[in-house]
Amino acid sequence: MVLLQHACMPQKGSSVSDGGDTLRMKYAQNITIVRKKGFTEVNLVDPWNKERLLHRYLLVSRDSLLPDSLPEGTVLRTPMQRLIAATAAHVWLMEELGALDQVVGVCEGKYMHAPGMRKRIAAGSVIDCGTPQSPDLEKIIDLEADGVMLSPFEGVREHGRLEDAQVPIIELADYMESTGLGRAEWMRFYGLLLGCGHKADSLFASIEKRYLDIRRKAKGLSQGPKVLLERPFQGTWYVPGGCSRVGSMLKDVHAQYIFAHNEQSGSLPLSIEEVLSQGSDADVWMIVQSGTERITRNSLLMENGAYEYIKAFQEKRIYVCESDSTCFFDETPFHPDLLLADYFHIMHPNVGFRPLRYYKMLNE
Amino acid sequence: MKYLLLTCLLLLFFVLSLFIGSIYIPPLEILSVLTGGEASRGVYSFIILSTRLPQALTAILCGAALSTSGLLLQTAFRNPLAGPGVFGVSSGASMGVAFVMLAFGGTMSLTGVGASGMLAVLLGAFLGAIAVTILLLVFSAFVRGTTMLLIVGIMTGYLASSVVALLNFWASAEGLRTYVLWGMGSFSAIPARFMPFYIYMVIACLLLSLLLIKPLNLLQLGERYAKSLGLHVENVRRLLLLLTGMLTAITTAFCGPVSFIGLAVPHLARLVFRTADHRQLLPNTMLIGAIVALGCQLICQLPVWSTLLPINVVTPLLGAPTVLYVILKKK
Repeated sequence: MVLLQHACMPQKGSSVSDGGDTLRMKYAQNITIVRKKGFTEVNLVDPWNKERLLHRYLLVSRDSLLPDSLPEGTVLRTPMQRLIAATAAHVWLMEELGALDQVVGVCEGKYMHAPGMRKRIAAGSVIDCGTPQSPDLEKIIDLEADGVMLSPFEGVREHGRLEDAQVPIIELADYMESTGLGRAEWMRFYGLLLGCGHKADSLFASIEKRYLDIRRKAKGLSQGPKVLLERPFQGTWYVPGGCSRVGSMLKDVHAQYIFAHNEQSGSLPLSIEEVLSQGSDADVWMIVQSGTERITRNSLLMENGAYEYIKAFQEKRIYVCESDSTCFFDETPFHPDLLLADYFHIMHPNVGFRPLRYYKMLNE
Repeated sequence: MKYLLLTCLLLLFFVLSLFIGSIYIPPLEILSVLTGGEASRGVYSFIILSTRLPQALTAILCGAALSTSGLLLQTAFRNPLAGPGVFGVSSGASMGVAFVMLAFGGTMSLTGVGASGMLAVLLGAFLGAIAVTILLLVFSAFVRGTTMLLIVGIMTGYLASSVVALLNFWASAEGLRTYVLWGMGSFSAIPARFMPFYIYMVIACLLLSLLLIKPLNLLQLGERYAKSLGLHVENVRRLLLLLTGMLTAITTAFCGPVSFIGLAVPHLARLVFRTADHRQLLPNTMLIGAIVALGCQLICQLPVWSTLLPINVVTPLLGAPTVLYVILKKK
């Protein structure tokens, strides 16, 4: 609650405290927000090189005049009103914050499950602008967009041209945070951009509370089961690293991730043998599945007979998440509390009961 | 006569490329902007002058550069299948870009000087291409005979490809997709502040290549004969490698690895003009290269796709039939 009071920001840019009032980010490590006189300075650290600045944004309210002297950075007039969005997770967040009217274009709208967005795309009030890696410049300029939201990697070729057109790129580097709450905390930045910083702060506070409650509950319990994740793709078994978000969340529910000792935060491309050798005694197997294929124990066996040596397979503790129908990739990035709850109930099925939101136990 | 027709074709394509695009702009507005007037919306003016116009210019110069590069290589190595791609120079550029995009996470730090985003990609491509060119130059001192040098080039290309494959394997899904998209080529990726550099460099190299017309004509007669006429074959070959390396480096850095134009256009030029004299062949190749590239760009920006197609989707459609025709004709 202390955090909430500190972070409470007046809805419209009325008088703000002068010089260097830092918005304390408790979990996010790659972003700092400092409220200064007349503007808010947001610094995004380069996740691949912590010494470097990825981007600096200077948020100036539309109601106020542009300050005479501003540090170097990209000026964004807030609230932003004509955004191009390229990521399902951020669109879901924007719908939750009630800011979808401020989006005029999307890239790859077909991957976005937010109901409000789907309605708008179907009605044609939001324009398709190509792919995030190669957005259609003419359309973006024609829409008079005031910002394009892209991952740091994307549209690298177009960055220069968008700069020429004076359309700022808002780099969504939240996915590089290594904790669930760290990533979700970025919603406070997006809230500032959309003019609903207050709402975003309260939303985050409630998410944080739920997350910490689950973590506290799990801490008091005995050590959870050993966990195996995902399955091979084209001969390589990609698993999250030990210091990835998933890894840290499994730690938080007191489960034993078989690669918890690994120090990487990205995805590990391992051979099937390696994973089987380390994970054959896993008690729980969780798979996130995109697409419409129906997974059954038989279909898994047909994929690779070696699965029958996995303890979780024998004991029938396999959990599958159908990402499309559960909107997994849309909702979980900014709702780590909901995902943690699923993990908690999968790892500790004897403690309380709550239907799983994303995962389903494989019965056949 | 043929010149006139071709020049008209180039102008036609040029004009069309300003009128056609994903967004419909009324023709009258376009004319108004082109004649220095105002458009009803500022964005129209921007799209025409800062998007479509640079795109067209980039295509023209890239087409001329790559086809010149192809012609120089085909003559010097007396091999109709030689092209800027075959020598591994564009593979070197691709490797440079793969390092920047996939290994360094989109940034590049060289001895404290940081470069990021587009600049890093440009530098990566350029350095990769120049590295391979220098390698070939070094080898040309040891290797006797053009075929051997060709083989060195091809093998270098394979080495670069294997490094790229490794980087791709370790890359994230987004990084991979961005890299693959870069590899499909684009004439619309050059930011405004780099355009002057691009234009000057390409024109300078093209002018330099015109100086090679006489040596090229001599080389065609055979190395021994050329030597007996006083031509210093090794020096000419080195200059040629350097020039084609530069042309390929610049175009690959700014437009990505555009396929087939370097290979196919010299053959088209020979077909149309039926001459082997480089005094006509070289300028004609540049002209036809510009037309072909602009034509491909035009197809890519048709409104029916509702986006801008990558260049390499269209160029093989032209290139492959041409190469087949040449091979069949020779039989």
